[in-house]
Amino acid sequence: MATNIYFSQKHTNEQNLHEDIIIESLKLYGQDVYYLPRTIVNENKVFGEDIPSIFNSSYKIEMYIENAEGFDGEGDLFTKFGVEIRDAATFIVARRRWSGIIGQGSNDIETERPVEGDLIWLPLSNSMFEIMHVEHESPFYQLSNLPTYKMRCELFEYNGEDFNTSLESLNSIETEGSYTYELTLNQPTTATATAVVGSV
Amino acid sequence: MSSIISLNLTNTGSRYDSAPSVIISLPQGTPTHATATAAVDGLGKVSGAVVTNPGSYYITQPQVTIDVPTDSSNKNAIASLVWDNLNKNVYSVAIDDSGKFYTSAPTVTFSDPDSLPGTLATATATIANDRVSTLTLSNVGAGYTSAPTVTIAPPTGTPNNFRAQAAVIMKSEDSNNSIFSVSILDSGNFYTGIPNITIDSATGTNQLFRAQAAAIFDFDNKRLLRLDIIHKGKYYDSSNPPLVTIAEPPALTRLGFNIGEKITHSVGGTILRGEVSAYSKKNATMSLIHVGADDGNYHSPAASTDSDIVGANGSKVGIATVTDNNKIQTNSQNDIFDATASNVLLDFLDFSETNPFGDPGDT
Repeated sequence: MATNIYFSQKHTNEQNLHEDIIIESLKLYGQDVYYLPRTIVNENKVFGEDIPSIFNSSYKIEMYIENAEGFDGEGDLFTKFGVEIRDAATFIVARRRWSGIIGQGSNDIETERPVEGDLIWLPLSNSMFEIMHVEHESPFYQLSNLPTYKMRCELFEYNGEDFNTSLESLNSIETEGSYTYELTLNQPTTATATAVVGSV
Repeated sequence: MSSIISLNLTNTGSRYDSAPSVIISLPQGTPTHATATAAVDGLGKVSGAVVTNPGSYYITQPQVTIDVPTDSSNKNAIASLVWDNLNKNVYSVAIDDSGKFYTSAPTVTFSDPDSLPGTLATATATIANDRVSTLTLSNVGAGYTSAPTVTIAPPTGTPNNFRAQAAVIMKSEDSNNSIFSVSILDSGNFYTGIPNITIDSATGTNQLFRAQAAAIFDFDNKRLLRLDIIHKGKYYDSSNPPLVTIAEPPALTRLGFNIGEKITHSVGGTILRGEVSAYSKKNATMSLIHVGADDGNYHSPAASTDSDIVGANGSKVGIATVTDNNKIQTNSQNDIFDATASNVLLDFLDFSETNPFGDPGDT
């Protein structure tokens, strides 16, 4: 037996209202973050390796940090190899806002949703997070729609990626972390001469 | 006359692509006017001229002008004759006053005979030194019952006809840019005093006497070997020698490097590409990140005289030394727990990779 058509939850107006309320809530309780979509360079489709990555753009958008009492993850891990920070966080962003600011066609982005490998810069803690998984079905069809993306992220470890965004604070990540050749240069020098004057 | 006798290369320069242009500044002298004075002999003629200032900057032979004679009044020659009463003709003619300003032999005229049929006496005159010098009776005439009169035609010359003429002789050992002597072409006449000699001004400019030189280029070492003088120039001051300006190497005339600029670098035929992460022209340092080679293998930038780093806008620099710095191992997590991060002593134990167990004695 089919569902009762008189009690359908697929009213577009209600869906839009629900999404508007979510967006407004995110704007009230969220944080301003910068979303950096990744561009994969020279992907090895045999082994699935995507070592070279470029981040050419950054977009400011509001996101809600779900873990309110501190970052998730294993925290600061002390091992015999030194200290490792394994902070994790879960960011929630409204789909409509993501598509309107980041996912629009004129932007330098190839996907229609947040994808794993993209970065989120949280100015609050000066932390860069890498998206490890995007949960696109939470909350689960409350009004027969999916208004948010929930992104589980871990602290990003720089590994030679190329940052060419408009924000110098983000670009400095590669300056500080890249394998760098320090050169001293031979500057061109101009020749000089003096004239000797005498009687001929 | 002071010219450039040598050019000393005090710095051979570096990283030239080709022989640069060499510019020697203009001589700082100014043209001087040649002057001369004349000498006049006892006959009223200009006998010679002495150059008192040879002048300078003469590129063509100037005109010389000698003043007109100061004696400006002409004078008729006067003749007299001896009448032959027996034969009723002219016995002889003589010059009483030779006159002056005669440019050609004047006519000599006798009065008509008194009785007919008579014959008109005739005579011819010659001039020398612009005066009447001789009278020759060519026909004694006949029928002169009384002494005739003889008249010499007046002179037709003006003082300007007797102006002396001269020309300059340029100094060959000076490449003919000053006056060596003044040669009298026509001594003129009737000078009662020493006339002025005027020599036209020089028309040369400093630009015409600028010295020229060319750079001899060492292609192997991209520097200059020497400077050759093409034109020695003239009128330079030995106490204030000219400036020698050698064009800059091509790279210096271009822009520097910008952060984020993509560069290329050739190592053994392989092209390396990278990104500038730091550049200081003052300190002659550059940092490169994301360096990769076109052949897919690992190559490091190499210090070499012929392997420039070429920027996107064509700027070039050579590499003196190369050191690599693997910053990935000293990432931000270590910085946080490094007690001396950014050279500032922090108030907690160092837990970075260099001191993983937080040894208090190893900060």
